Amino acid sequence: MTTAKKLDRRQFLKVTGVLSGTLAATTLAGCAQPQPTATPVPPTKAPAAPAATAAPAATAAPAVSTSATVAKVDPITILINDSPWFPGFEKLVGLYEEKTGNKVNLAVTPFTGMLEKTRNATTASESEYDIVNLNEGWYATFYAGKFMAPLNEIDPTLTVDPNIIDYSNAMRWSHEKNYSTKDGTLYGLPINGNIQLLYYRTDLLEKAGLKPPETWDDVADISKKLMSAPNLYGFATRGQKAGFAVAYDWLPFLRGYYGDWVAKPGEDWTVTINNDAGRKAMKKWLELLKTYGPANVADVGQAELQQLMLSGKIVQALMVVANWAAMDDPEKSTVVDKVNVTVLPKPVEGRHATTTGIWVMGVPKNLPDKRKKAGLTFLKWALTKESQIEYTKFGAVPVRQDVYTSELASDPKYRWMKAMADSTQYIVESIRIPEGPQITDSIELRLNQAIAGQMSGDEALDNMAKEIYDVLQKAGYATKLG
Amino acid sequence: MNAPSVKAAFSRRAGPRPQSLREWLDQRFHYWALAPTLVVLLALTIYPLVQLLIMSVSTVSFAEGRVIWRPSGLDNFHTFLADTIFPTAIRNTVLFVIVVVTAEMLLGLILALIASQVKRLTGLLRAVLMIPILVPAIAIGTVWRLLYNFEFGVFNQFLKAFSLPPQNWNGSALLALPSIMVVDIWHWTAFIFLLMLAGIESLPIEPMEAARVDGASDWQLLRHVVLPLLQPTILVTLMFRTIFAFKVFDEVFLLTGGGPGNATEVISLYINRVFFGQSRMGYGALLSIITILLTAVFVILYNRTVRRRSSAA
Repeated sequence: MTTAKKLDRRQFLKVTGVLSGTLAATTLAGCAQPQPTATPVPPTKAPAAPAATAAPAATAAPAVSTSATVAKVDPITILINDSPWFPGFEKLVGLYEEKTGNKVNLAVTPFTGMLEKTRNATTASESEYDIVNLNEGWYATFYAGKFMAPLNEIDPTLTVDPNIIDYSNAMRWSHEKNYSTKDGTLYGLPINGNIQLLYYRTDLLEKAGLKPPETWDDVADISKKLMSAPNLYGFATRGQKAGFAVAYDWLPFLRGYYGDWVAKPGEDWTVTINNDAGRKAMKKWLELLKTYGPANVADVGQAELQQLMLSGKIVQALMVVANWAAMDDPEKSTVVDKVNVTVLPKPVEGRHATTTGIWVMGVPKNLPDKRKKAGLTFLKWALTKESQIEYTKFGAVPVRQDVYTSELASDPKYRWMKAMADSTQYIVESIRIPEGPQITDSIELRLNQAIAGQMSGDEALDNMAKEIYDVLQKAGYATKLG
Repeated sequence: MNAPSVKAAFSRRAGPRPQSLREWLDQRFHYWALAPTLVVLLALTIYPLVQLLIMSVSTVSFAEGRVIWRPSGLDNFHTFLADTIFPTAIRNTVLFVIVVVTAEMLLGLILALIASQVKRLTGLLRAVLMIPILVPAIAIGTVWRLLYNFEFGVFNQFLKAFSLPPQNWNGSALLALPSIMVVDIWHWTAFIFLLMLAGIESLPIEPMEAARVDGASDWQLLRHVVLPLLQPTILVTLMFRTIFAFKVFDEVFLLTGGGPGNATEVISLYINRVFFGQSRMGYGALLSIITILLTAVFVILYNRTVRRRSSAA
């Protein structure tokens, strides 16, 4: 006969105490911070992949297979943000599963948590996601930090179809130049082609016998003729400080006057944001917003600007193409069929410029080869012309030029596509270095202060210049004040 | 068990030198009994705090496919000394805390005193007053942003109805912080109300009856009986609410994002931007340490003042 020995309270606590002590020691040892070090990781064995990162030749084979030839791969998980274009992407994934039999899990997360989740996944021993969606403001960090797998290491035969818009080399990163360049390593593929366009009221312009604006002066003329504040404003961009809002909307003005935040990103890091071009851009932007914009423009964000357009309270607005979906939706818009878009205007003696606000998908480096291949299989399929046509029909923003110039563009429902096709040649990258968020925060704050009347435009520019110089200098760029 | 008896109980364990492991363990039983609590404390408080301290004197970068910590000495501290935004954030936060905590304490107490006197529909009254604390922060931000909307918001529609000019509630440097304060007061007064009401309802009835028999007026009853008896509740509520208000984030993030300019920049928002937005983890850690120190200083000073007043009383 065996008798179960009963633990008394004291013995129980003693055992618990000993176990807890052991657990604590183990946990703390396991969590111990690695020694701070400046020594880089020993180089891993380089795979025998060719340096196939050269710019695609015009004759390059399509980067994608047809659905009939898509390989059977293991299920994959994609980390994706719940942005307005997500439903379109979700439908595209559904189509992929239907056509290929491959399975995809979507890890959908709000925009706010995306960066942290991506960082956690890519710094873990093995990523939980096979594909991560990288925002315009982040991919430099992940490319430069070598957290993404070079796509040609996964598939040495991969070339990028010339019809896939390169968004000013958004897919590539040169570790030598510490910038995205044409000859950089291929790290990602675009999945959302968001850029800026000028939205305008066709009914009002037609009634007044006016043409869509070509220059910022045209924008002012149209505003002057049609504005009737506070019921109808002439023109607005976002003025709100919100991560990358007001700065993003101001960049086309700066680039339009042949200016930039540094002399030549990737080559000459002299800070030039407060040169003549910068001052002209600031002056024109302030003049347009203060004269023809709503009185609360310093507090106008994406939602407010879209509301102004949808409620018929503004004639022209600088917005991204992602805002289009609501324009013809009778449940949201009072201006159905009364809005169109055109290429962003330019200064009279300047150039057109529109800034990339795209999303790129990449395959984390910390994945076994099989998972990397499965991830790339989906991306290659998603970028075929036929997939992208369906993607457009699902309400998303495609990334192929041949889709923008396809028959679909002649359908009035897709009238925004012509402006997109015409804008491709004017695409300029946003601030694409790992320190970009610090720089955009500075520009964002100073522009917001200028439009809120807290400082003059020139003061704002001089402050930006100094702060950008400090950031670059501290990060080790060969910089100086221009 | 009071303190001396605890000490006595512990000292009873200290006997002759242990002869076996079992005896040794038995003699130190009180330490093992504390171990589970210590483990939780170490794992969830001390360890992250130590990590934060190490991070605050490091530069954390994401390179070569991993996270690299480099000791950076006093670099982050020098950055802090040159930072022009953090002092603004502290100033705004302190102003915010003073205004909202004062208003919420007063309103919460007044509402609780009124509710304690109401005899009918008490359940309904309490349920209605509790609504703001049940609403998620994101919904509060969205609703109030719509209320404050320049073009379509209720407040400006109301002003327009009286032929008054619309106000730029969130976009004016003068109005933005007060606008957020209003939202916070609306949100948190219910919390103070509940605590105060619970405190009032647990007060002994005898002193109040005695005061009435002695001919005390309503005001005298409140001033000399209710408030002194309620003081412990008031002090604890005040301390917690001050600490919570110091950490304000969601309302500012959702309503103004810290703008216009830095007019509504507060400490938590700024740290969030530095830490996550700009990926400057070392500097973000230093700012967090400074914030913890500021809060700790407040709690120490507060406790000392309370203790001094209690002993004086």
